[in-house]
Amino acid sequence: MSAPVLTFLRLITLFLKNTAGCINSPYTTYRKLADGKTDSRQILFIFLLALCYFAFASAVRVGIRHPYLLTFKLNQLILGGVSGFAGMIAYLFIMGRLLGSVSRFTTLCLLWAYTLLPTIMWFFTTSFVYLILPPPRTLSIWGKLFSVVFIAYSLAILLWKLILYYLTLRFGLRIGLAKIGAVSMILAPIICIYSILMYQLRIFRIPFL
Amino acid sequence: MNLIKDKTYRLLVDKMHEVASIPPQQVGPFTFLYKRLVPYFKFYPWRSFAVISSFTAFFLYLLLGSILVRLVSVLQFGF
Repeated sequence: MSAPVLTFLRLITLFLKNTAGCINSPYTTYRKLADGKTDSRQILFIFLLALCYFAFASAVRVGIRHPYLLTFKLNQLILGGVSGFAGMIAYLFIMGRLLGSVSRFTTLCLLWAYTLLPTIMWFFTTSFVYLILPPPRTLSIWGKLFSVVFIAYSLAILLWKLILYYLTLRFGLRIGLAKIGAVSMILAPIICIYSILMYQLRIFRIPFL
Repeated sequence: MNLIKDKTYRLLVDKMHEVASIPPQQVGPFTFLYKRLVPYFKFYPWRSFAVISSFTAFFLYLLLGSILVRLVSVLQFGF
């Protein structure tokens, strides 16, 4: 087998292993990811997953009969997603420098990229459910039951996301809980502004972070 | 010399470096509570997520009623 194929296989194996690790034991996995010994090119698969979601969401929202609108929507979503990712990395890197942390840029990118897994998963499942059971939900027993299950699922994904966010700051910036709290307090209004901006530009109704 | 080459010794040194790279988490008077809670998220995260999210969702339904159903409709449009 040629070298590029072997590299590809090695990276995809690494990605799948770390994805399983983020699901089953995020703490151990993030500790390993943060030590800087792993190949950071594996995040390409996360970006590829996000791209697949953007293409799927564009097709669901616009339909496949309008190639111009479809391309426009896809570009909008990519732009929104990339700006959110770049903004978060820039923010974390600057905060790390201000707090005197010795964080590496590539390590931060790698750790934050893996926090996109819950986001991609939630957005994918929500768009699938939108196709199978289009809203609005009714006040029937099935509507109520679905609502409780959907909220429980969303909360579980949110908790997973929060854990990965915490671990990114803990291992990426090497800071304690008090500083993580402070960084998050400053981050919260920035995320609010980003969310409003994305909503007003009709890119994301819920921020893709 | 033999000790340095020993596999178990190297594993122990690696583990020591790993643990020492970040100082242990201290949260003042709540450190004990923190140390009790964290293992549930460290080693059985989905079990904890499932329990917390299910109870919270049920509690939110009791608290909000039909508003929760409307909220889900809004969230479903949110992708």
